Amino acid sequence: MRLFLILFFFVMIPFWIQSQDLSINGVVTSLENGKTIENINILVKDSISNTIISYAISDHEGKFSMKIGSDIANLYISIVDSRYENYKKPLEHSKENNSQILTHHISLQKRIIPLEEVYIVSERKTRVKNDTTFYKVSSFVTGEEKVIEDVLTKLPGIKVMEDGRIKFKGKEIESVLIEGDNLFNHDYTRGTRNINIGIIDEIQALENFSENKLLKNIEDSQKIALNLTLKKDVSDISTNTDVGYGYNDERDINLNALLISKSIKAFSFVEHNNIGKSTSSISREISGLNNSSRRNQLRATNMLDIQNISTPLSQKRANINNAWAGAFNGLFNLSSTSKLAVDYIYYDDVLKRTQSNQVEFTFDNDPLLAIDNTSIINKRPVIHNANLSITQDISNKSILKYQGEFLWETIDLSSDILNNDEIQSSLFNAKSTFLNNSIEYTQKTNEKTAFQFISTLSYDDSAQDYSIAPGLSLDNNSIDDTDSTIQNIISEKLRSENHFSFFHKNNRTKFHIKTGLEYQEEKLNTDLIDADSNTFLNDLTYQQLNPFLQVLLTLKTKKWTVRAFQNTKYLNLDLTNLGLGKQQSNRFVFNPKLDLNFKPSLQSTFSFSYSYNEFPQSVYNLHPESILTSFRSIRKNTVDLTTKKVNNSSISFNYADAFNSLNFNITGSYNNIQDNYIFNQDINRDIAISSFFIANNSDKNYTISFNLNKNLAFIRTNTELNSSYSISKYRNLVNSSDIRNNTSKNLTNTLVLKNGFFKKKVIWINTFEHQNSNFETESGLTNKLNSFRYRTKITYQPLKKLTLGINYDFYNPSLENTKSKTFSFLDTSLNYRIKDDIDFTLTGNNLLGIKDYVINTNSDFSTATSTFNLIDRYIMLKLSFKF
Amino acid sequence: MKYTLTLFIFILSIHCSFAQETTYIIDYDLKKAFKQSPTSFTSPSSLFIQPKNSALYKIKYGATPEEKVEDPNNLPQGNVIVVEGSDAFYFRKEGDTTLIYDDHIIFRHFTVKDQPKFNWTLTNDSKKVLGYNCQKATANFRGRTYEAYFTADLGIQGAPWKFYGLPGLILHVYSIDGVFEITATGINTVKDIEPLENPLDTTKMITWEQYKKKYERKYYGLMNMVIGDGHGNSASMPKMQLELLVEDRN
Repeated sequence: MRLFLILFFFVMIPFWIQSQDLSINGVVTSLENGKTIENINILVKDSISNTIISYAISDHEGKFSMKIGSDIANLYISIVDSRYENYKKPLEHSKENNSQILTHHISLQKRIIPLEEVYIVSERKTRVKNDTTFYKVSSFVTGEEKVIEDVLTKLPGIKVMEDGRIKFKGKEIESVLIEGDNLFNHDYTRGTRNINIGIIDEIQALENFSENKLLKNIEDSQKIALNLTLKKDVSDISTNTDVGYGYNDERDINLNALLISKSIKAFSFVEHNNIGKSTSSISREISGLNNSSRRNQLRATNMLDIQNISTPLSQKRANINNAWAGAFNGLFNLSSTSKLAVDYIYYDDVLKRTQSNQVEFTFDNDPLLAIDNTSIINKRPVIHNANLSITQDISNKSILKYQGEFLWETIDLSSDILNNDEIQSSLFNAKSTFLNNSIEYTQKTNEKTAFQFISTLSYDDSAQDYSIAPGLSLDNNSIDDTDSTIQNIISEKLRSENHFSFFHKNNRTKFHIKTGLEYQEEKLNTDLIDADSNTFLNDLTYQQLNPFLQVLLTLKTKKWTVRAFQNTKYLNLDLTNLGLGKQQSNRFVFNPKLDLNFKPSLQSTFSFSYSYNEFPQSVYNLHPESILTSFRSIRKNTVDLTTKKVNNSSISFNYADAFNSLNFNITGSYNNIQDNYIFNQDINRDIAISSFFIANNSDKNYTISFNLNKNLAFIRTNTELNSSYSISKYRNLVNSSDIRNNTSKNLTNTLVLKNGFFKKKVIWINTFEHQNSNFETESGLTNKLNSFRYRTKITYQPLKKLTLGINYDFYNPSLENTKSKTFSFLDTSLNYRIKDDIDFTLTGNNLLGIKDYVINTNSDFSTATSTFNLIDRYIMLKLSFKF
Repeated sequence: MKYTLTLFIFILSIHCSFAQETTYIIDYDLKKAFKQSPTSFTSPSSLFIQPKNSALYKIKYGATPEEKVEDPNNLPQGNVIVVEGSDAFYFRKEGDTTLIYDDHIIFRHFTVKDQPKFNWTLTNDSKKVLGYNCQKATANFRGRTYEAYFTADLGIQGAPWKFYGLPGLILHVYSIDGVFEITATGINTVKDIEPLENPLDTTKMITWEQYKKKYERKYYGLMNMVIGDGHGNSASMPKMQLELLVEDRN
């Protein structure tokens, strides 16, 4: 009963409280005709505070109803409507009715004089720039990342190559800027592999990036740069230290400091490791591994293959090194109009490699030949590289810039060789000095037009000495115990280019004309003395004086992008070879290029590209006499100045449907090379001699590739399928054969399955890769090779501070050969963050202790098995702290 | 494209046609600053009100062709940068509680018909916006709390985006968590123009509930999608955009 009373009490309270409130209802009508009016806003306002207490809207019958408080003193009804005269009347209790409901009928008079027009504007805030993609770093870090590169790998649209190069939307970026300044020059891996991610606030990908600020939006720049902005609370100097040590004396030490102030930006690092890492791109460039770099195009042609000891396996497995590197990059604002940038890097490494090759040659008319060799190689490259640039803003519209580079490198390489049954030893020393200077003047005449003058002068001087004992007899094509073989090479390249550019843009078009003169002089002196004291001399001077005119027209509409480019050059080639005398070639070459891009919808893109290029031959193909390029290879040429002609065309379709997590691309390409140097190879047991000459007709390549990326949500799997099939038709001559027309067919299929579990606390990535290469000669000889690779990687992050990783690789280098060895690698990692600025990592690398790795390769006349040694199993504890 | 054309006709009609009533054009800056998004975006927007006819709210996400947003679909792996190249529209007939607008889920557009409900609580606070006396009201709507300043002095009712139901014109509204904010930057009246038309394709409309369901399905689909080498948040969709779209499953 008591409960009932309490319940009754509580149920009734709201009614009592509610009963204190008053309601108003009424009808809104027109004063003119008495018709009801709908959609009128009826406000009840407090006359003291002038605030709205309650409101209602009249319905289709003009009726309204609303609740108000109990006290109606000071309340009035207000109607302000653009169509009717303002209405204002105090609220009153109707005397005859004591109920809680007030009735208030409203009559409105049509507005005769309309409201005055209003025009009020406040200042608009700034807007977003749209050729920039912004990435807030804090949205992507999960705690396991240390340096910038670790985060870059996670950003959509960005891909980091194994050597540290970065691609955005499939295209390699130009530079990495810090707060808008290009501190690292072109060697941005120094920054991305060293700078602690903790100080970076935002990463911006800048498309249509112009290094020269005056050309921004005027030139048709297809360059991309990344800009890093720092967190606001980052102090002027931030330092980072990593110290790692493994039980077999593995070391990984890195100290770096970044200084950012108003007038100075500087970065420096010192590092040492013997676990295969490299944090600067320069070591790869110097080894000739990055031939596309702008520096390598200015450098003297490298004639020898011997320096290249890279393997197709990743550096962390196969790069047996002992590297020391130190670098300083500084950018100084000398005044508000001038800037000085300097950088210097020192790199010193000792690389070791034991490599053996078993090659079986199959010729059309010869019996089978097998060779077997093992080399133990020690390579020590030392590099000093310094850059200086001064930029002076002469006015708001003109800039003068000077850039200078100095590079000094030495390479000492020794190897002990078991060449079939003979033991040989070889020594190689190389020294080179490279200088490059450029002056650039840019003038912007208005928002649409600019011009530029650039003058560059570079010089490279390199000397290489190579000796093998016991040496080779080129008369007998064999090893000769009596004497050694010695070779000296001096090569020089002087290049100067002066050009004038004119840029103009309109709404949809951009126009660039470039005209100038390039001059290049290359000298090559080689001196090879074989074991029989035969001397093979090359002494050549190759000069090019080529005036050129380039025109680029870009047209962009909503759906179309058209780029038409024409490079017209007058080739003036002058070659003097010892013994052959002078050869000249003068001709006009027309190198057109057309790119079409059609985007009919948000999802689809069609692209077509065509280009035709005529190139003068390189010094590499212009020496008539023998050069020893490795311990068992000789090369020489039948000199011919005929230009090489390359036709390239490709067509592709891309479909990207983000809603369905589907991305699909198919590309077909064709190229045709005419007047190509092909080789005539004479392969013997101890030596192989390649004679290159220009063959009539052409070599052709066809490629079709297909990529599909689809997230299969129902099985929680993101799948990527990449297939590529290429056919190459090429020619060669082997062991006195006639010209052989060969075909190589390569098929690669890769399937990647990515699964995330428990809100991605567990991530499992599986990669299956199958490769098939097939060579066929005209006579019916075939050589097939199938390899298979499987990789799986599991990462588990039970806590924000703790990440565990396990990695397993399986490789079968030859599916045909059931006896061939297969390989399994196991790596583990554990990362624990003790505090924000201290963490440690325990890494287990190659835990199954695989000592050697085998790569099988085939060609139209050989099958090779190459074995090389690997970085041994290690467990390393690494401590990282910043202060 | 259809939107642009319709809008073009509409704007043209502002200048050259004869008829009817005053049209109010209120310009707003619309700012979104999602915590998971790399940066805040401010877009210009305008609310067109014809008191006897209808109201159209337009957000101009894209800008001049030069500043045009690069197609985010071309990002090869997933997408986190939600930037739209086209304009967005919200259309409502006078007196109708149904709002029609276009919305998208990972770049796929939908025309949505919605009946957003706001239970506004009026407060005594007030301030001046663009010289008009504005009273503050608060409401919770689909996961966020909003504070709005509206004026009854102009004699019209209207609000940008999905806001609805206040007895006046909203000139400033924001979510108290700082994610969403719309501020009026100008008020203009134009006379003698054609009635506003719905620029949206209404042949294939879905309801808000259907939209939400579609979003939820995508959300759970992407939740376990791994891109890159894992762990990044980059493939996930937020549970909450401006509105709460994914209810917790437990």
